Amino acid sequence: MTSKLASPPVVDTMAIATFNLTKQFDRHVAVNDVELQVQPGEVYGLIGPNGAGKTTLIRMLATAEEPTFGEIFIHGDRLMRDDSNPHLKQRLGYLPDDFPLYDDLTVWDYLDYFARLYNLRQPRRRRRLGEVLELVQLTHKREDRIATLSRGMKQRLSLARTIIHEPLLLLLDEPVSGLDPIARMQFREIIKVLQEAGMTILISSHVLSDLAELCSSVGIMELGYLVESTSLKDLYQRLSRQHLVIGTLAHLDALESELRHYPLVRGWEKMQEGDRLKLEFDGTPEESTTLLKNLIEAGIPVSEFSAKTEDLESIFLKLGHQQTS
Amino acid sequence: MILNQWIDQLGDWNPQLFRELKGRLTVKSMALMFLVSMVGQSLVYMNFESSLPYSENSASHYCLGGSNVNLSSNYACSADAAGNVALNWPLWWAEIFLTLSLIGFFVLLLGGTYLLIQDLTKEQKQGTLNFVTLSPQSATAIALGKILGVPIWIYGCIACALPLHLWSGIRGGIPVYLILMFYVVTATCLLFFYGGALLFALVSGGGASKAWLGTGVLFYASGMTTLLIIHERIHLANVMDGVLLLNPIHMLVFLARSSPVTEKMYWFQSDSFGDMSFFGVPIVGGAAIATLSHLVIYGIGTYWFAQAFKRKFHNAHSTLITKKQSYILTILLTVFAVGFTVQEPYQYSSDYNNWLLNFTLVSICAIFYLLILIAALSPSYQSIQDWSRYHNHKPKEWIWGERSPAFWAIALNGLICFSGVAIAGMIVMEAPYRLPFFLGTVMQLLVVMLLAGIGQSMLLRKTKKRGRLATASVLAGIFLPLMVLAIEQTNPEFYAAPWFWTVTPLIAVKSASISTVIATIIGQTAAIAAMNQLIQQRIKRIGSSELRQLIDAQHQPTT
Repeated sequence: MTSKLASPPVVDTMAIATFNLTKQFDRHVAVNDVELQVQPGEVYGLIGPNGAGKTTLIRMLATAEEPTFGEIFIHGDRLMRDDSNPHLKQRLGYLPDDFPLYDDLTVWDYLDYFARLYNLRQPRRRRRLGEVLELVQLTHKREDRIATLSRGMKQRLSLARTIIHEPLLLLLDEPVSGLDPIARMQFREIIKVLQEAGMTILISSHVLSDLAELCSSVGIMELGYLVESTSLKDLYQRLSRQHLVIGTLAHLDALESELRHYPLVRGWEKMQEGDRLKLEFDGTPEESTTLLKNLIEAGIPVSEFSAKTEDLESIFLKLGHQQTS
Repeated sequence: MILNQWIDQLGDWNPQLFRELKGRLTVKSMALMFLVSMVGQSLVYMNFESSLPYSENSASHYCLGGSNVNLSSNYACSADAAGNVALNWPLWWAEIFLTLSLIGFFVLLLGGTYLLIQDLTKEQKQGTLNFVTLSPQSATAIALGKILGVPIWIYGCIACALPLHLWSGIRGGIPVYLILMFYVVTATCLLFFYGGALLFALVSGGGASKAWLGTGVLFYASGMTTLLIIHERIHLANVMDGVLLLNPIHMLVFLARSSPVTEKMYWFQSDSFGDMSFFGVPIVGGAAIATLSHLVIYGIGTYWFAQAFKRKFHNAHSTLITKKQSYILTILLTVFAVGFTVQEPYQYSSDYNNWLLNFTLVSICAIFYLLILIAALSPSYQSIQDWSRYHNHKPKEWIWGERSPAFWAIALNGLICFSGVAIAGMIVMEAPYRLPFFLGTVMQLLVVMLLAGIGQSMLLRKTKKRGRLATASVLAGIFLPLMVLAIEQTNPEFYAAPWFWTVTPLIAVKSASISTVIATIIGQTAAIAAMNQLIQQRIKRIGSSELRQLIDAQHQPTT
């Protein structure tokens, strides 16, 4: 059942819009009054400590869990947990953190089965099966039984199953957990391809470096609340401090005495390797250029001068959250 | 290759069927099916062949022309000039046909039920079913795919035996159209029971023993009714006739009797099914009307299984049916049960005691139905908590609401049930018995409400084993009073009052004074009001906020 008329106007333009979304298990409120809005085509990263409510939120978005309270709209249509909205289910792809498969089927038959469940007809079905197998690099395994695949391959096969019907919205819950670095990299590459294809992707992960590479926006969950939901660019701008790393061929004391003259330098620490200092610098890129120029004019033999911003993990920890990875 | 193409085409029609066949149907498995079926058919054939006489000096059930030599309907054999024993081949073939029918039916019913429950339980346990429920396919399409695909090995074996089955029927003198009617009825019966099996697998907890439990119960029920149909010469003239009609083996009576050798058959001699009536209308008098009756019963039953399956498939935490659906179902079942109950008591004159037997039986069936309904309509503890906290508690919500407790809905269902029973009883009984019967029915309803209240209050407890606690309490409420009265040898004719608090007040009401009955009704009503108060309080407490609970806990006196 859709309720476009009753929904606020913002939902029509959003890939995901939730209102007062709450899920309570007995006395424990797993998701608390969440108002999430994700633009079409975005890759939205959901981060937060274990038990923050990420999985419950994703499960509700995938219709695998019923909200205690609140509403979910997917591309403007109200999400209901019955068989009244098959067209909405056709738009969703959900990959949970565990991925049970049918061991008695071959890779091809498994995908063929799900393609049929999502109403893909020939010849599109055959073409699509070929495409996704190529994307997840399992073409050479198409006739193998699923029981014979490695964990990484099974994970990729699950992703292939999730995207076989070209969903508009992809919900990925801890998709890289338990994968080795190479498998993780392969998975990241696949996500980038899907992003380029225009899918909206909501992904939860503890591997923040992956999210920083993939996401355009992030949401931070804690104790069931969505405490932060913003674009990655905005997050860096607001919360990421710039660091300058300056190396010198001379003694560090000269460099330190020179830096004391600059109010934009709020402090520094000596780095372990080499004669280098890590500065907390409040200035703009132009002001850092001026600083470099002044140091050289003051006769400091500068061997290294680079600007660095804090990564997502540091920002996350700085916000007072604890990330387990 | 051809097999794959065939599966591919079927898969376009039903994706679930594609999955089931892909995992099961291979050339090797098909060869095995063929082999198993052939071995089974050979065993039946050889068994019948071994029962044929080899010389004219012997006596056999299948001999022609001789005289009856004993009570087991064996006949002395005679031979022609060439020494060939004259045999009643149509009888021999007809009995092969009936044997194959029974074996085939039980293999399909029990084997299919077991496989379906086991398959769905496994999918639930592994978590693969979740992905299927999230797909845009309807629950009925998935269920149909499972029903057609999971027992495919059994279908294969039976399909291989069909030529012999048909051939033996034709040689036994049974008209082909009747055999086809039997096939249609059996197929709809299997659809009904398979639907029930899938629902059972979806709703029941427990593990690997679930398939054995479901199949075991079905084996017992179908076995008992089959024995009754094969050997008994009477129908029961009460609500149990409706249960008999759930067994399609009943159709074999018409097939056996259509054979020219019917008098010489051992089984299916029942001649009183034609007397079975529904509100006085004969419904199994002929094969065509019996087929129609079966189809209607299975059709309605399958529809309700499908409704419940649909709800549970999409949301494991939802109730089996909605409250609105429960009222419709109760009306249907009341009409069904009362229709068979108002048959003239079979062997006796229709005095109060004989009618009482019929109506007590239907009342007990109603009680068990209403108790099952408590389980079917009671939302999960979590749902009640959510409902209590986030929704208003208007009376309308209690009667129609999806997440409200089932207590008052059970009361309304009970009212529907016992109103039907009371109206029917008042019509068929003679005037002096009407008032006691009516009062007895009222007390029966009140007892059901009390039991429902006990069950509901247990379901609202915080313990995790609340389901078991509710079942145990309700069963104790049913059986303990009866056991105590039986041990004390309390005769309902002399000490009626205690019987009014059991599930069978009807048997005592005739001998009780009106003041005792009125006092009991007032007492039961007061008990229900107290129970309702208790339930309301519990619900309020469940839904109260953490802060409120903390304050309440602080104000409670320390003991």
